Parts: sequence; structure tokens; C-alpha cells
Amino acid sequence: MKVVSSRRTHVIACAATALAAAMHPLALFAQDPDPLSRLDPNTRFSVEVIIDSARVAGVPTRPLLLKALQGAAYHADNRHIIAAVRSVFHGELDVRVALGSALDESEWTSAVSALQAGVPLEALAKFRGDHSGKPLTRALVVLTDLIQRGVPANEASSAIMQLWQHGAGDGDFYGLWKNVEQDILSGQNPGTALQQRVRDYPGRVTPGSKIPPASQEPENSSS
Amino acid sequence: MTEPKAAIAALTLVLLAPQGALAQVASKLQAGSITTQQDGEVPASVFSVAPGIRVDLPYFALAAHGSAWLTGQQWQIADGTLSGTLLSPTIKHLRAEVIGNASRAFFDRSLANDQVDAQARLHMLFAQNGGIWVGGGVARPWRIAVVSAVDVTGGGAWTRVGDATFSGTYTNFFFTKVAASRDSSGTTQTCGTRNDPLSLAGSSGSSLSSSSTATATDCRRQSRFSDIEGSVNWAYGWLELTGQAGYRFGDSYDVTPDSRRWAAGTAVLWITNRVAAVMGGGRIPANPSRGLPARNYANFGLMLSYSSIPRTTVPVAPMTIAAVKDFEVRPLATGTQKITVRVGGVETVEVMGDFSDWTPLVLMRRGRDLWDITLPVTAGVHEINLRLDGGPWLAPPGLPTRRDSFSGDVGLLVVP
Repeated sequence: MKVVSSRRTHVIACAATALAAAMHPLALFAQDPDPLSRLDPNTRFSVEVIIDSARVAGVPTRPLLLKALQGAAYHADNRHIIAAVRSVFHGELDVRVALGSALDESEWTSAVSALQAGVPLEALAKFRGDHSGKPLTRALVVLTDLIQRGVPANEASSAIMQLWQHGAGDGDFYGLWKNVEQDILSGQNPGTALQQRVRDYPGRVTPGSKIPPASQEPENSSS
Repeated sequence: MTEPKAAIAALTLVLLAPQGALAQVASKLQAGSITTQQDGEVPASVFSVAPGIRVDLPYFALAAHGSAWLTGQQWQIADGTLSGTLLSPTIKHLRAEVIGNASRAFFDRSLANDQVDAQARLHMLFAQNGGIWVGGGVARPWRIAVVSAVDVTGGGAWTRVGDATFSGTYTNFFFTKVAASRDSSGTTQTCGTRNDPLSLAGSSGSSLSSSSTATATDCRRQSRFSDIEGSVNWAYGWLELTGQAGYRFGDSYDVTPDSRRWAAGTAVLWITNRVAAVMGGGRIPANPSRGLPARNYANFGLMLSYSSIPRTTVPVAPMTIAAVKDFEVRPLATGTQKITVRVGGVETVEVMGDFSDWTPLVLMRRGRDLWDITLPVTAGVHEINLRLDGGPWLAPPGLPTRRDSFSGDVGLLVVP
């Protein structure tokens, strides 16, 4: 009887230990050594060819890999995945023409997003040369979102470029986006909302200024 | 180490184990005093420790809970249940659910039994704010004077009104039992027409091994009764109130007077998102299919963490992103980001993005409607999407978005 009880105790302890080990964070966050294995062989081959082309062209390859993985996560069909990866590759080539190669990965990604959202190449090129150490990321993220919300691409590009040239910082762009988003949600025409918000702060659009008084950005949050 | 102590230690290890991201793992540990009283008897109090753990995947859930009582100087393992649930995807507002349970019920040293049961349910949702379900199943108890499996059929409906969830269920039980030849009012019952005498059962070769204690005056009898129960769960801030009341239909042979009607209530006061004070009391009706008597109870204690919402109110269609009250990303001192989502009435919340190589990560429930996950996310712009209850991937609220090349939107998270 004692033997049976001891065995049971042993089994319970082993099961609990195994369960605890299986749930350990290191086990859970283990990186996939071959993420492209999520694609079927034909798609994988096509994606690898595009990635090799990007490597040869000297543009970032990780955004291409991530686009393929995103498609796999959405269970997109193979044709769409390859088209999306190719679109990002072409976007990177255009970004290099417009902005040069001295960009960090976030700038590459946000610039490609802006182009894909409809920002004209010439408009994007205007951000070149006035870099002055400021990251482009926030300006381009806001620009992309505004176009997606219905602001005409030319109007949005012009407004963001204007703010950028006047030295607007990350907080300025975030505040502008938050205000325009609220105006659009309350029924205002997207283009009008942007023009109104930019016009509201004409005197303050000077180098080093802070545009919107309403919103600060201590963290990414919604409420 | 004795068996109860080993089980308690094992459960503690499970509950203290880091909870992970591949599946929603929700655990709770409730400790406190329980006082029960059968009619006409002296109340008895025990100190109870009741751990529970639930692992949720999009279409499968596994749960275990139990309790151990400290009576005098001795620990006694009391109730325990292991259950698994399979959920189908939602198609045209319909969702199927199959539930299997194995449980042990312990009332005292002379009254304990085991049961396995299986149920299937079909849920239908109406506009996210209500739904109905119908279902049926079979249960097989052991070690009690029941000679057949118990057929269970029923249905229910639920609706949300503001912060309150109302639900009503109707459950029908049908089984054969070995019972006394007098009903609960003392009236003699004949064991003739639909009730065969026990002696005949023995001579006909029926299996009655579990009824060795039956006397010559016992009958085998078809029992049938139905429970109708209504409940309300109301949450306001840190307070959660649950109340339920029920009525049992059936003739006096199957339903004892002390189980005709019952009511109970529970109050949960959240002290933090993971610690709550629990207080409750009421009446539990008898469970004739398992031989458990009706009793009054009162309990109070502390609960750590929290388990999922009741299965009877499981949403049968994915919640929309509009249900998210708050989405927040905060940097931690360790260089990681803590993603917090405040959304109630869901069973799983997942995020994925470029930071996870587009692998879904399940957030942990940290309170009634609070979910979070801590991840290493580098500075820069990241694409991120959110999913509730296995629904479509959507951009989290409060973030700029962009089209994602795959007919959807994706949130753009800028980490400074």
C-alpha cells in the first residue's frame, strides 16, 4: 500500500514539474530557427529569390521576411504573399531613390508604407536633405494613417512636409494625428480636418515648436 | 510525503509556474472558511484551499480544479474536477461545444462518489448581447445507488445589459435509481407498475452490484426532475456580484421538500487586479443523481487571480475591436514593453506583429477585464494586430494604422 502511495506521489510530482517546465517563458519565447518553413516550398522559393535580390541591391531584407510571415499568419494564398513581398521590395528600391540609403530599419519600413498608401515619390523625396538628425518615422507613420483615413495624398503630404520643415517633433505629429482622428470620428471631412488643425497653429509652426496643446505622448495608449 | 500533501504541493507548483504565451493559462487559488449545514444538523466549518487552473486555446480548453479541507489536524482532499472543452469555429452565428468532465464529489467520509459526463451544446448568438443554447449529454456516477447513467438535456439563454449579464437555464435529469419505497412525505410507494421490486431485478440478472446496501423494501425507479435557474452577474468597478435562484420540478418521490427552491449569492471585491476578497452564501439543492444532500453554506476568503467567465455565457461569435476599452503599451525598466488591454467578456486576447515574427501571443488575464503581456520590443516602428476570442485580426484602437497588403489594417506602434 505504501509503495502505491509513493508511486502516486512520484507521478503527481513529475506531472507538475513537467507542466511547470513546459510553461517556462524560455520555452514559450523560443525563436523559430527557420521561420520561412511556415510557407509552402514554392512560395518559400519565390520569397527567397526576392530576398536574395534585395540583398544584392543593398536594401533591407528583414521587412521582406516579415511581410512573408505576416501573409502566412493570415493564411493568405501564395500568390498574395509573393505579390506583397515583391511590392515591399519595389517600395524599398523607390525609397532608396527618394531618400537615399542612410535610413534605419524603421524609416525604411515607414517610408515604404507611405509610398504604398499613395504618397507620391516626389513628395517623399522632399523629406530628403532636411533630415537634421531627426528620425522620419513618426512623420511618415502619421502621413500614412491620414491618407488611409481619407485625407487626399497630396494634401496630407504637403501638410506633413510643411510641419516637418518647420521643425515639428514626434510629439507634434502625434498630437496632430490624435486631433485629426477625433475630428474625423466626429464626422468632419478628413481633408478639412487636417487643414483646420494645421491652420489652427500657423504661428506655432516654427522650428522647435510644439503644435497641439491637447495631447502629449508619454506612451502609446488609447482611452 | 503523504498523498494529500503531495497533491497540494504539486498544485502549488503549477499555480506558481510562469504563465505562458502559447495558450491562455488562468489559475486561481481560493482559501478561506466554508461552513455547511444540513437541515436539522449542527453547522460544520472547515478551512478550505481550492486551486484551479484553466488552459485555453482558440478551440480547446482544459481545466482542473479541486479543494482540500483542513479538518482538525488533517488535510482531506475533497472535490476535484478535470474537464475538457472543444469549441467549433463560429459559422453563421452558430457554434458547437463538446464538454467532458471527470469529477469526484466529497461530502463526508461516508458520502463520496465519482462521475464522468459528456455534453454537447449548440450556441446561437444574437448581436453580441445575448444568446441561447441547447444541449444534452450523459453522466455516469459511481459508488451511489444509481443503476443507470443519467440523461441530461437542457437549454439556456443569456443577455448582457450594461455591466450585467442575465442568464436562465432549464435542465432535465432522467435516471434510474434504487430508492426507498416511501417518498419524501412518508407516503408508501408501490413498486409495481413502473417500479420493479429489487428482488426481481436480482433474479433477472440485472447488474446491481452498486446497490449492495439496498434493503428488500427498496425499488428500482425511473426518476425525473427538472431544474430551472436564473442568475445575474453584475460588475461595477472593483465589485462583482453574482446571484442565482432556482426551482425544481418533479414529484415528491424525486424531489425532497428541502430542494424545491434555492438561492445563493457571491460578492467578489477586487483588492488588486489579482487579489480579491470573496464572500458568499446560500442554499445548494440536493443532487439526487449523486446522492448529495441539500445544505446551506457560507464562505469567505481570499482569491488569487481569476478564472474565465462562466461557460453558459460564452460568446459564440468574436467580439469586435470596439469592445476594447483601453490599449496601452508602456516601456519597462528592463527594456521590454508591457502591452495592456482592457476588455471584458472575452476568453482570449492575442497580439502578433513583426516583433513576434507574426506568431500569435496570448495575453494573460490579470483581473476581471485586464490582460497583459510583457515582450522584448526594440525601438522603432512596429506593426501590431489584436485578436479577441479567435476572431479576425484587427488594428488595436488608439494607434495609427495602415493597409497591410492582405485586405486588412495593421496598427503602427512607434517605440521611442
